[in-house]
Amino acid sequence: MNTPLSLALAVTAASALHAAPVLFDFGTADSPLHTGALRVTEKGGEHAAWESSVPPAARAHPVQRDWVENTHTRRKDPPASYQTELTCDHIASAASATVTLAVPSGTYRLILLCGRAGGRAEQVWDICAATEDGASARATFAGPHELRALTLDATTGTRGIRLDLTTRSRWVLNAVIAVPAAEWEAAQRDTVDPLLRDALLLPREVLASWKIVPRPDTAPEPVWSARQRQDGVAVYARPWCEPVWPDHKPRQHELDAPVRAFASPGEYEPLTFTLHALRAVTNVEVRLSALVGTNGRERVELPAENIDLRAVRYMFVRPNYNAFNTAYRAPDVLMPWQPQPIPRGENLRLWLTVRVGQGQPAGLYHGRATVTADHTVLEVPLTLRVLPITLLKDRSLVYGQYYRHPLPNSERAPDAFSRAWWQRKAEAEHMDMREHGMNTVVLGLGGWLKDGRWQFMFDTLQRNLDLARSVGFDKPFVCSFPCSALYRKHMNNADMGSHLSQIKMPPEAFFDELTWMVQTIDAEARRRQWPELLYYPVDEPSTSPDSVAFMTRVMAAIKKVPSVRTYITADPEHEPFAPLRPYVDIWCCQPFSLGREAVLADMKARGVEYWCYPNHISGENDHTPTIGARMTYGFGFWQSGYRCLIPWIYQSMAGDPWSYLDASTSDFFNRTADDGTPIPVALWEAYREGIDDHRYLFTLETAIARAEAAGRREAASRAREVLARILAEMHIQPKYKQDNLWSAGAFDAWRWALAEQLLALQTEELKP
Amino acid sequence: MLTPYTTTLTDEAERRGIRVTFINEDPDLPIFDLCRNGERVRCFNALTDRVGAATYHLVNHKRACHEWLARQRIPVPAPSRPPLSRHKTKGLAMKHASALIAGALCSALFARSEPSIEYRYLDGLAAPKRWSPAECEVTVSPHRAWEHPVACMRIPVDFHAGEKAYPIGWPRMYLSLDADEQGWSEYDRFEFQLYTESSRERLPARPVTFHLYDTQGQKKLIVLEQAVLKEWRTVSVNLSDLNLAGPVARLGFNINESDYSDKDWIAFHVGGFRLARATAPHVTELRAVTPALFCDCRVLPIELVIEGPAAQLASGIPVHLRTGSRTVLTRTLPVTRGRQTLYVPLDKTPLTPGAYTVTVNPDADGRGPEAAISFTTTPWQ
Repeated sequence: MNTPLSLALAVTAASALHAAPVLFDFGTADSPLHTGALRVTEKGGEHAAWESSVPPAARAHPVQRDWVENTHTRRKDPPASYQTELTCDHIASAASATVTLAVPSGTYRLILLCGRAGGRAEQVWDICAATEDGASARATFAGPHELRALTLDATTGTRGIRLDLTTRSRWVLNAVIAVPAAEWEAAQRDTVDPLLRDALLLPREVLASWKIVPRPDTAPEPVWSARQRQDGVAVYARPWCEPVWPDHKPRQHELDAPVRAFASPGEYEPLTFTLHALRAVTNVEVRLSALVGTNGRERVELPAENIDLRAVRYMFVRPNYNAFNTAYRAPDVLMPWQPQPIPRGENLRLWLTVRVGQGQPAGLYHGRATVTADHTVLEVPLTLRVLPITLLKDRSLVYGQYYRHPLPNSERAPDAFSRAWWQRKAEAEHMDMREHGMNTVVLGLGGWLKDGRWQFMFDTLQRNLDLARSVGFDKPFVCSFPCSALYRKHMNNADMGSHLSQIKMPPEAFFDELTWMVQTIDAEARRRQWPELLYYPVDEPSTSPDSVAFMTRVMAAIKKVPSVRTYITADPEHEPFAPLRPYVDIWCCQPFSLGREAVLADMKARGVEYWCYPNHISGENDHTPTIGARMTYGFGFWQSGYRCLIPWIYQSMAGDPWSYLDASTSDFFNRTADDGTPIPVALWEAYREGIDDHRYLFTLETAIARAEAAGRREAASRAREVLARILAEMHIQPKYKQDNLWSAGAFDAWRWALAEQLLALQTEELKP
Repeated sequence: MLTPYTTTLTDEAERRGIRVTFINEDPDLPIFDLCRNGERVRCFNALTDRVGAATYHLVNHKRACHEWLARQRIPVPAPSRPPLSRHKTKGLAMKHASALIAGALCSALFARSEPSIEYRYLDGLAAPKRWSPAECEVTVSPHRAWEHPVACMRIPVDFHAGEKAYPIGWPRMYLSLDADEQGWSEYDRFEFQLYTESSRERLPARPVTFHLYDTQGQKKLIVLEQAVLKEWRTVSVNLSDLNLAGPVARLGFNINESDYSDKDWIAFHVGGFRLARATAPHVTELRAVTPALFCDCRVLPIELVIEGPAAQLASGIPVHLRTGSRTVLTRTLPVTRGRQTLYVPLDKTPLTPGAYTVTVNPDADGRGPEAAISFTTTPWQ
């Protein structure tokens, strides 16, 4: 370990030798060293010294670029995440440590790269870096691939910059880029941003094979007012479910358009507005006031704490989740608000979500968002009408999510902090799903063969069911079970292949044992008083004759167990699936492939159910069809006759969850904050708003029935006309995504038309 | 129970994807709306609000109707047999008339007056040797489309043959355009005719998909749902809907064998390939993308497709908004060729809530493509 004297000498030498910025590359003695960087090992080095009660450990991973064969899909996959010379190696520890870096005296901006450490998926990394002058930065994230860049300012002491590294689990440090404060602007442009792009998006030589294709802007440049030119910022508003692209111009009529919404008690409602930078803005701050109104007698308030403030983050996305080499920037994640800059010509969309509590008095509420953009202060008026409507929900419908459960990670976690983090993630996500209208989630029962006997993870499923029920999920649970493991047992460890691409018919004993397996699970489910499980042996079987023959026998084997129901992700419109019909209780297909009349007739005739997994609006092949998502969950679902929407998936992560371009498939849908709570995407909000559209429809239908039963036919008839008009104006489709949809503004107008009728029926009811 | 006078119309409408909404539950008074894309026509049996009173009486008179149909060269029963009862003869004539009126009506509901169109035929696209087939064969078709050559793509559906990894695959064929077949940007539409034969009695919902690729490999896929067995159908692709970054360079067709049954065969005759453009500005589609709007909104969005030379569009297009017979607003808006959304500025004073009609490019009598809009009250007053 270096002595204080030697570091002091190193600082002196550094003044003479090093041009800013200074790169410190943390790793082993012989791991790849970034060109021009100074090596720091677990023992320190010429330019760094450690102090710690427990010596940290160094580790390196190969910088891999080759694609590798995936035996299950029979395709080649790229690396899950891309290492660079700076990120492929790191130093980590579970104990606190201090590192002193020899740099010339002065004030610096530091960029710390932390992550991509490999290792266990259950490990949660927690890093807090603090300087001698009290600045600190922190990051918490899970798994082997995520990489974070922490920024903090530091002033040198006598020996350089001291960084205290503390953790609640393990910290990891890959690199430090130290930039003299006076040279930040140039260094950011010439050194920092390129290095961060290499590390956080894709290495430049890999990115070179991708084409970035911006979404074209066809709107003419609006006429800016003198005030907007002077401010350098223009405020504009468009309906929340219409995307705002990163560098598109606002439409003329959107400038200074009112920011307004209406909602009923119990609803969450979005309010959005956007700042367009006519010149670069270095810092934007936003403050929200309460929303204040009157109930006719007294002042009433909806506190600012009820308003969640976020900003839309633009991500590089692929046109399809398994496409390569084409990307574009798209609005996606709704990040918790923090002050930030706006590059010239770009947009910053503020996304407010108002929670209208039960009991919030009806009325018209006004508030404002105070925006400070550098030296400009702008007041954006906000308006919310709270309606005196008690919204109902059709409790017979099922709203579910495919879901990668965090609880098993909690059970396998290597330390207490990680364990608690996964637990909190699971709980927070379940609550989030409930608040977004969900009432079930797809689960799985694990199992394996040990000494010739099946071991089922009933307790794990118990915990998952307990958590689901604790947030009020009260619908049947789609449940996978070890069908593929059973196949391997009978087929000499062979793989069924993706979509049963490698399936061969197993012997009769397989099907007998499959029946036994379902009987065993069912018996345990009854003993434990579980809610209904829907048996889900295989996902998306293909229509090949071998696949269909196998699936027919599988479903028949399951149906030998009395009273259990089977679930399949397949389109009944595909004729090859016809042999399956007697054995499938729930058909779950991607589009609303059968029309309403056919669905209702078949459900009535045979007691089957038609569900839908609308992946065309789940983000897997487009992150922006928010209008289509709202339509799918609202008016489209209402008209369809289907019983459930259960898309794949609540959160899809592959590689670094903040780079959508690495790994074999893109990440999509909700992200995770440092504390394990969910970060929504715009599509997720669109699901909730679609469900709310459906609630207005259902509440009105219920009110109509009540009015007709009470003889208030005229009012009921007027309400029915509104429903008929909505139906007439719908372009009914199997998939609501981009084409032939209403514009964003029509949805709120229809919702208001429904609300008006509800209010009218309510008024009629109160008449003597 | 509904009579053939009604079901002839409603069955045809539903077959064409036009929504039928009965607004009166009494089967003896079958009044219903035919709706599509925001347009609506109200009907009673086979009568519509667009059939005048005089025409009604023509159809209702046995002899007059019979003679009129015969003059239109519509097959009617010969008059030599002992006359049927007035009711039955009327019924037969009505059924023929209804079937025709049904077909004409469903087209007429959404017809537009046709401007002069220029065509550029690409007969080379019908040459079988130009196509690269997989799991199908392409030959010269015996048929002609618009008097131009046709190719035949014949597909034997076989769940056991084809590519080893994907026995239930995607029989397909592709063609790369020659240099002199490119340059589509001066045209409004790409069209061809499609005739389908099969061993099946009915086509699946997704019978065949048509592909267009640009030079960078970006593609537009169009499911040809209009395919019908043993009937010619025109496929008309609006070029402004392609959203391709570059010029069209390659075409393709494919089926999904999973949409068919094993051992089906199917033949698609495709030909008469042509590019089309209007010689004068012409609105071919109008859609109220916001059929309901708050009365205090700043703009009314409408979606148009405009064909015609771009140079002639500079003067803009008039848009009228009226309620009943009263025009409440007139605007002239700049337009471009192709599909576009226009934001019609509204007055600052909120409109009176109610039903309105927006008309684009009206003639001297105020007629033109139109769409219905509902303005609602505003929640924020």
